[in-house]
Amino acid sequence: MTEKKIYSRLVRRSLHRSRSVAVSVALAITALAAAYVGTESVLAALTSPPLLLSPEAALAAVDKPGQWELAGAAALAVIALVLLALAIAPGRQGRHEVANERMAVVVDDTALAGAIGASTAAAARLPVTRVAGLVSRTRADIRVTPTSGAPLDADTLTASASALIDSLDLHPRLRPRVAIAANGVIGS
Amino acid sequence: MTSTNRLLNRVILAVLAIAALAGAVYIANRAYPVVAIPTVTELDPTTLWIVAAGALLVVVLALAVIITRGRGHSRVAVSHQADDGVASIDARVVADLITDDLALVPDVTAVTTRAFRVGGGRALELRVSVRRSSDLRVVVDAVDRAVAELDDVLEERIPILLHVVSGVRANLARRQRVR
Amino acid sequence: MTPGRVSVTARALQRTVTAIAAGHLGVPVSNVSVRLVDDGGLLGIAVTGPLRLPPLRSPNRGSGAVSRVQVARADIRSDVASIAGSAVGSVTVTITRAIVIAEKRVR
Repeated sequence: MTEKKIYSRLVRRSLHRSRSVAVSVALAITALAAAYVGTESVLAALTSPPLLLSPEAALAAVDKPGQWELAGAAALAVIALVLLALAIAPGRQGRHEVANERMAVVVDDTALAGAIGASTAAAARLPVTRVAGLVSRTRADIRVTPTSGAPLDADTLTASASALIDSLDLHPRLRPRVAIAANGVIGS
Repeated sequence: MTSTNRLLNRVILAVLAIAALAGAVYIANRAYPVVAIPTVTELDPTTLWIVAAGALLVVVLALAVIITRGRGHSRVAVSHQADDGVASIDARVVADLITDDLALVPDVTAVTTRAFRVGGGRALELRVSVRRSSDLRVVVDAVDRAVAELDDVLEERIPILLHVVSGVRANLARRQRVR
Repeated sequence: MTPGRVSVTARALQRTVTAIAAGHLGVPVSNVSVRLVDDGGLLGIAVTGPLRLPPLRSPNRGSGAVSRVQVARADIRSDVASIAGSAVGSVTVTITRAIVIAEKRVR
């Protein structure tokens, strides 16, 4: 495999969940259920008494479904939906890729938010506690609580956040949005 | 991060979903007949043994798949095999070297490594924990420099995934110390 | 005079080889673990332990890690042969940790 392919694979696998845990759990439960069904079938074939529910009794119950059987069917339907959702949903990991020559680089969105927040706080000459950053797939929402009496310019701060984001060369691209709280805090 | 077949994982989940749905539909259909689904009433020993065999097959397949998840993890970063023995270097060695090199970067709180096989070769994940208010450019540059030296020291360029994570606990510890 | 015989227990041999290996890796003996196996009649040696290495960006770093390991493998082989008198087969060295120590500049 070429080096380039290896790197793109490394990044792709880091950005999406593999579903290995979900599959392992689902298959473990399936194996238990199958083991139980198999055991009951063998016991019935040997005309021995059943562990819990003989195949005959089970089929009879399902033949004329009452409350319990229908509740079971509903549960199965819910499980089916959950499994289908897990199968189809992309399972994005909340990370962004950073362009780099030597390595494949991914950054957790929480770390990214912290860095953007810290840089914005420095640009606004505020302590980092006054800035909250939230990074989603395509947006970086930055909320700044100014000091009363020292108004801030959202455009300047947005520009500084943009500069940091551009210098990191992120993928997927991040668009910064700075929101300055209407009410400030007394004293810096 | 392994060489697990991710598509297979999702296919398996979809298959299980369909099986569960089939069961639900069958039961619901018995109560409120909408579609003519033939009922299963015969329970002669032959059928029972077939069901038991099928169940066994399901158990074996399920266990086989479970066991193969998570393959591809390795401990070894670099390995040279010769006729007279093997020289191999664990991923932990890389973590030790890079941790030492990044010790003077205050934003970095921890460095761990994981090795695995990708596409026939070996790759390394470098997990670097940073403080909440870190300067990512400084951190990435520092790792770049460390890895450039590492390539020299290992006499080989391993594919490396740098994963920057937020080390929240470490950050809190630092805050408390400052106060 | 008939030549005598020196009987070496497996334990003593293992201690000897471990000491030799630790010496060539530049690390304390307690950190090194050695497994001796039969390698088609020869003595097979599997060493697991840390390696002393200079910091990544030290100015006079010397040879790379893999070279050091290969040198250590060869030195272990020859030392075990001469000190313990064993015919050595395969020597495998697995480095598990790095002990990063700045090497003093050679004057």
